[in-house]
Amino acid sequence: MRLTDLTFREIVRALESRELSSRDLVAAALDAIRSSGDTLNTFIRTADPDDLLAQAQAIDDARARGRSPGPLAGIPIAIKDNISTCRLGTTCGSRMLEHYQPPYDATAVARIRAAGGIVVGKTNMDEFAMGSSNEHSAFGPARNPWDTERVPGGSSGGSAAAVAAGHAVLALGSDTGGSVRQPAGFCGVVGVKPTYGRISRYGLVAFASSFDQIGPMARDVAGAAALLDVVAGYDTRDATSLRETLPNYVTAVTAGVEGLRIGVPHEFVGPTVQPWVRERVEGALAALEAAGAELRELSLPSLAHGVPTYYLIADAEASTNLARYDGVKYGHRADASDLDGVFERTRGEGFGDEVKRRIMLGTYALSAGYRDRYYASAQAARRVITAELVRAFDEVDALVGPVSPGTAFPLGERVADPLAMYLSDIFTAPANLAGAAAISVPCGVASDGLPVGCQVTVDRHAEPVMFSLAGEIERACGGPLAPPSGGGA
Amino acid sequence: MAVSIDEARHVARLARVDLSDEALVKIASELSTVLDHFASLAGITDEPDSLHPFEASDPPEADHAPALRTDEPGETLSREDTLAGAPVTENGQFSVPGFLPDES
Repeated sequence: MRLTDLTFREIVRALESRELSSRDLVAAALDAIRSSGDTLNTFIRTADPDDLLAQAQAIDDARARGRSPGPLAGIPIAIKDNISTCRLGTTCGSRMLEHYQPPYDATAVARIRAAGGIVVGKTNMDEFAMGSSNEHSAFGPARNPWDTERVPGGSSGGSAAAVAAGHAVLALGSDTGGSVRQPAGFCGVVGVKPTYGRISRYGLVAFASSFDQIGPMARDVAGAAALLDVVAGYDTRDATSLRETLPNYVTAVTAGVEGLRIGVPHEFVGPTVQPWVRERVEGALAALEAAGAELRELSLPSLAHGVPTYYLIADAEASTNLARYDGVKYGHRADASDLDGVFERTRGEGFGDEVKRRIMLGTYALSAGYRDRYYASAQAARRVITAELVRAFDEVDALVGPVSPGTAFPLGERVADPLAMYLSDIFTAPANLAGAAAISVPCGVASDGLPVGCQVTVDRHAEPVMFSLAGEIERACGGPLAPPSGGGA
Repeated sequence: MAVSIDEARHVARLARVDLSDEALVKIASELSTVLDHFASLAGITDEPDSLHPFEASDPPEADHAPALRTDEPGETLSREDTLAGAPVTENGQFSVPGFLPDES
């Protein structure tokens, strides 16, 4: 059996009716990891297989005794390696934290465990979540199960590739400027960036705190909604987490789209978008219209400022957040006779090139003489972009367009050109700037043989509408995708 | 070029990152390319009703407030767990090279 043969709902039904055991499900994940894990480099670390099978057996035993062991019971779940897992190494894709073992679980991980989910391992990622291709991992790049010469996207590329290749049923990623949605689009899976504050950031290693959100990933929309149902909600340990009664997201997936107003921004279908991507997204829009939604063209001119605004603020925040890696409390420490030498050499040795570039850019943007020109301008631009999106959401219920201008690009194509890499985030960064929610849902395979992600962006708190639209796109575009040969590489 | 090599050296010092001369040349050039592109932000004008340039863009709302929980003693990490990942410890504390004049 392969995990990619079944939808999330089919897996849950089969587990509940005991046609399928959790042990078989975990064994299938372990088989897939054995067969293509090395090629795809999806995991930085996996949990002990015997321990995973024992956890699965305990769930099967509980079910046999008539107990209901939780909404994710017995389901193999992969966790991005910047989300803390107690006594399971958490490297953030960095040499700096190569041997770091968190002494606690992130709130999202604790909630997954409480719901019976089985944490199979920690997925590969761009170092400290800084990258759009996974090529900035200190542990080698993860690869795309659709074509192993192409990137899986980033920074949550390991999580996206793991789900696409059946190494796990569900995964958590983190999304600061598109890091869940872009790899989901490149690997043909579903990825959610919830409203800022929806999922507790406690235990998520900080990159840019005013943008960072943990996000669920799955092969289908129902799977992503079910995972969000479990991990969302207020947490006293995160002062930015939202206090509100949560709707049931799984129910929203099949609620229909009749009467919903869809904004189609000119800027999302411009000349930078590959024609085979535009074609698939236009197909998704036509399907929404056929299902009763109303399409409205609109313009969001300030989105042109999205990438510079995002990078200046995110890197400024990163330059302060990453000050904690000083060789004192955890992680790598270089030899030096004086304290400044310890700081400088530890950071010089422990961080990779992209992280150094980001820290330098952020420090420069905050430094005396440049702060007004760069950081303050970017904060002003962030408010302008946010105001423009808020005005748009007075007129429409959602914005729909491509996740990225192109499909997955070849390994090595952009790694030496930081600016080209940053421009990959052009359609995803605005949701992070405004704290809004967005989802990447596959809308078919393009003529180049690679999956295309369609992005649905909604106002803060409007995840139910987002799931309804994504559910309709998924149905209309032929359901969940599977890579050729099941991602076996 | 927006960023000179001397400026890059100064910023690396502020950020406490040890970079070789060769790395400084490369990073100064990369930052210049990126910042030249980002110069487009210079023309942007803020919303007329904005209050302060460093105010968070996300306004306080009922669902955020109160942002801080009640200040009550709770469970915290033990000293042992806290120090477990430290590269060097001494007498149950983090250890660093001496940095006060009478110690060095």
